[in-house]
Amino acid sequence: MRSLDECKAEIFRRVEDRKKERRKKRSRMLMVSISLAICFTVFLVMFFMDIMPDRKDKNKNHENRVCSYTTVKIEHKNGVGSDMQRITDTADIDKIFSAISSIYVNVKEEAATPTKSDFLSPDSVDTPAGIIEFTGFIITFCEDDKTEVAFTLEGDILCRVNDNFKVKIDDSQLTMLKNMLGI
Amino acid sequence: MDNCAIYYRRFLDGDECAFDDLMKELFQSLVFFVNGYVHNVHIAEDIAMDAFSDLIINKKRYNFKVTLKTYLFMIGKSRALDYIKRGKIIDFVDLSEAQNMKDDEEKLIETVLADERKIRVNDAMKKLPEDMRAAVHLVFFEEMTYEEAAKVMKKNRKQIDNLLFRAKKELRVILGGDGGLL
Repeated sequence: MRSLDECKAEIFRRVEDRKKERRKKRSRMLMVSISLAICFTVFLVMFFMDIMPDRKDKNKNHENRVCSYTTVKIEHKNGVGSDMQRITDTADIDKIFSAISSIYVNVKEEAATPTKSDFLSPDSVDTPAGIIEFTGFIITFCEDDKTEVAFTLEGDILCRVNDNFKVKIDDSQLTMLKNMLGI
Repeated sequence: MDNCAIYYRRFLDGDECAFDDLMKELFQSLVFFVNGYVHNVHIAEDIAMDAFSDLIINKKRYNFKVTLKTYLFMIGKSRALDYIKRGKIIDFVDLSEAQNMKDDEEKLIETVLADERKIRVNDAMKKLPEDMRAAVHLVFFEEMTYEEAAKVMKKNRKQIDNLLFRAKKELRVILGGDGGLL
């Protein structure tokens, strides 16, 4: 039989061993749970997060946006050269588009009684010389799939390039448009 | 609070010497009690050490509602039964080792049971069934109350009472003329 001191030493040795074993078990459990959490997160990211934001974006585009354009290119031609700036913020694009659209809508409503000053004939500007000597801004709305709608702003004349529809805009509309375009 | 619980409280408060006092007070009697189940002093010693290490590792498990002796004996008993359950394979022991073990057992009995009367009762107890032996051991040798003995043996007070009654009856027969020792 062992003496009490020997037994005591043995007891404390066992205690240390069991504590070590416990610590090992705990860290093993921790590692397993961390790796499980990581796997679960990766799974979520791969199978759900990829799909969900797309849906949300699509919904946003359809529900909240005025137009589907993603970029507005503003080219300033001053006769000598040109400089270009871009707007990519969708909220700003929406504002610009709705401002320009409202100008055209108002003009259409007044089209029943057009005045010479507001509703210009296409032939008045669209001459070869006019294109060459054009000084003003070309505002181009671009979509992801490269669909473009372009307008020109020369003085107070706004022109939709597609159908050469020209509109004379008043000072307040011009100021507002220039502010929006940052020109 | 019993003495042992006070030692244990002191040990929990950081007094290492209190553990020595605790060991002096309880270790040998726990080994002796467990030996009654496993019939091998070395294994009984091993189990008792395990019970003590349990006491150190799981510091919050003992709630001071029962005496520490009762708590330790409960652990000892359950460990001994586990050992018996697991080790039902026949274990061959060397002759010299068996002799050593017998010597150790005698030493243990001399240490725990100081007087002649108890030693003779202990010898007679070997002929009793396990439950009766354990009940007599706890109440007469360890001086536990019936309630404490019942807790260690996982029985109720009445069952302990019955076991002791029958044990006394049988011991009187076994001891014959020495029946008055009880």
